[in-house]
Amino acid sequence: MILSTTVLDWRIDGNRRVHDKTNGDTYILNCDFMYDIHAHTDGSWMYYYDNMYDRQDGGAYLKCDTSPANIIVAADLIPVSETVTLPIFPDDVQTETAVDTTIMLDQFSRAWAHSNGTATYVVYADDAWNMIRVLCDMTLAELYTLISGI
Amino acid sequence: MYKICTVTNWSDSRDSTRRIAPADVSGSRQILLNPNRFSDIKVRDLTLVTSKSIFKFFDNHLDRREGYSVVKADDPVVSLITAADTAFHSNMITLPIHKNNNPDNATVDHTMNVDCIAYADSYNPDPTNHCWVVYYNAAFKRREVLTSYNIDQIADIAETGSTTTTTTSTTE
Repeated sequence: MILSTTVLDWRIDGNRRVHDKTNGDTYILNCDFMYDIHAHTDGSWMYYYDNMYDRQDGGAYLKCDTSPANIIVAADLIPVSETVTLPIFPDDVQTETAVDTTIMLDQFSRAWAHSNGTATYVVYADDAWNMIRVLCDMTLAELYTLISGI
Repeated sequence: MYKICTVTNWSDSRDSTRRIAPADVSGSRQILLNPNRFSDIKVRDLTLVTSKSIFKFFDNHLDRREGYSVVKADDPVVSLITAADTAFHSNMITLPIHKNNNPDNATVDHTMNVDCIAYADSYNPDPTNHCWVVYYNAAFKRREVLTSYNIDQIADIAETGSTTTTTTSTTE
């Protein structure tokens, strides 16, 4: 299942995924894409694969403030559905009408809030073929509730 | 759920048939296998040995380049199906892994998805206290690590979350 956590360090894309270097950024992650989870004084560290279906994806070091025990709890939560329907803005334009698009939950890679807080970026895998980033008409908290029911 | 099989032959392109070595004087070896890598499970000989099975096994089932190996086991097909249908205690499993694969070194807990473990094999010098675990980080990387559990304990943890139900030790 998914995990909502504060990512403190993510060594990929030139370390640009974590903007707040002091407090970290909130992400929703897919527990199935996590490997080699270790305890850390801040929570845990692991190798996170953006696309576990792509053999060319080698994973990246990720540190977050959630303990391994709580990651296991999140991994064992049963989602509302094996699919999730995302209201996606065409071309990331928030003035456009969002179009509902349903993806499989096991394709979900990560999500983070738009800087305005009203929309959410979601990245999902087209199986091993491609990674797709979309902007959705919902907050990060609403997305978490939509998937987890919590 | 993982299945501890009595493997009599493992024909593999990666390391030939050495997974069942001449040192295994019984002619077989107890190996913990993950059924999510099984394919084409068949009764080995319909007329003679219906209690035995033969199946394909993919070490790295997420990599389209990965060929299969053929495993012959002294386990009936129905037991393999039962294992595949049995739920894990958790989607994650935590294993104590020795640093540098040296049994004299301390262990570090690694937590991983139960799906990423391919198989576990006994550690010949001390099969009751250690075993090798082969797992994959997605389709990308194969890892072979030495743990301070035997294969029965790994099966118990996967099934119940603890090692308390261990009843037998693994033989070479």
